[in-house]
Amino acid sequence: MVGTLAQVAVEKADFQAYCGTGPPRFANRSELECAKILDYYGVPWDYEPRSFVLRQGDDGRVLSAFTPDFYLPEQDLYIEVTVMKQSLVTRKNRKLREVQRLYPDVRVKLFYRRDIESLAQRYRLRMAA
Amino acid sequence: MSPELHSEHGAVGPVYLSREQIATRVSELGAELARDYATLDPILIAPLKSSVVFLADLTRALPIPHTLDVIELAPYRGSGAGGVRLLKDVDAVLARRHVVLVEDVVDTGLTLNFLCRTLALRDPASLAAVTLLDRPYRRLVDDIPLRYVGFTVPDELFAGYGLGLDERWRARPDLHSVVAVELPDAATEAA
Repeated sequence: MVGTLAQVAVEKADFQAYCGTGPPRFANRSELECAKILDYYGVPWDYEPRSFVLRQGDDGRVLSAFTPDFYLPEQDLYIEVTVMKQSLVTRKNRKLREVQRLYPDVRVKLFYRRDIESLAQRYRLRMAA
Repeated sequence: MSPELHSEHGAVGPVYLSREQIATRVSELGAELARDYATLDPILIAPLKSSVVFLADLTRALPIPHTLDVIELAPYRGSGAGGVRLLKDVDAVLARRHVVLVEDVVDTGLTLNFLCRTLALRDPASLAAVTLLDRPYRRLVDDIPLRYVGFTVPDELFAGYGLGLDERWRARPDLHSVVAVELPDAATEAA
């Protein structure tokens, strides 16, 4: 299984299609695996470049926000990778719906851990893609 | 189940698309391509290996002048280092040619996107793609010229009709569902 670590630190130089500034610090191995697949195919990607404010207090303080894991600038697409079980992602789905409501032009796709595992497995087994 | 239906990473399941269903759809795709490329002398390019059976049937279903070529990419091995390598490039000169990429499956779109970006550098007159199977649920790149789709299929693995698992079952004439097994931790954990 692609497990969860406290944080997976990598060097920026490890990636060629990474277009962020500082070294990405992945929250788990699923995110790292996703980055490696994107990088292999030369699809430019950034890691957590933007947070979307979902709720603010009267004083302007951010009460709720959502930061997707990846941004693919050429696709103008955000990707959120979750290692939660599909049955436990209700809260995350609610946030995603909120992003869609408040930022209708923003495209976000949710990938579950099994999606990333399946992708990695497919590519390594030389299955068609 | 008999051993010949198992491999290290999965087992052949029931028939998902019969050879007759596939043949009917491939004929239709040939007719669509013939209509759109009637006077354009297209070149069909298929990435090895999974697409070769589809390519073989599609070329015989295409009643207009056209040529064939193949390309092969090194598979992803769990490390992004170095990016995709071409194991075999196309032989033909593509400048001013009408190129049709022939894919077996389009999933994330990453492979097709890479092929399009690579071949677009060679100044083709046009670039389009036909796929036997479209699995759009985990599409990561949308800017792919996927103009012709045989079947939109569920988010599952398949074998047969050129598609293999562990290099097996490509020769089966029907398309089968595959019951995949989990890879061991050591195989899936990133470096």
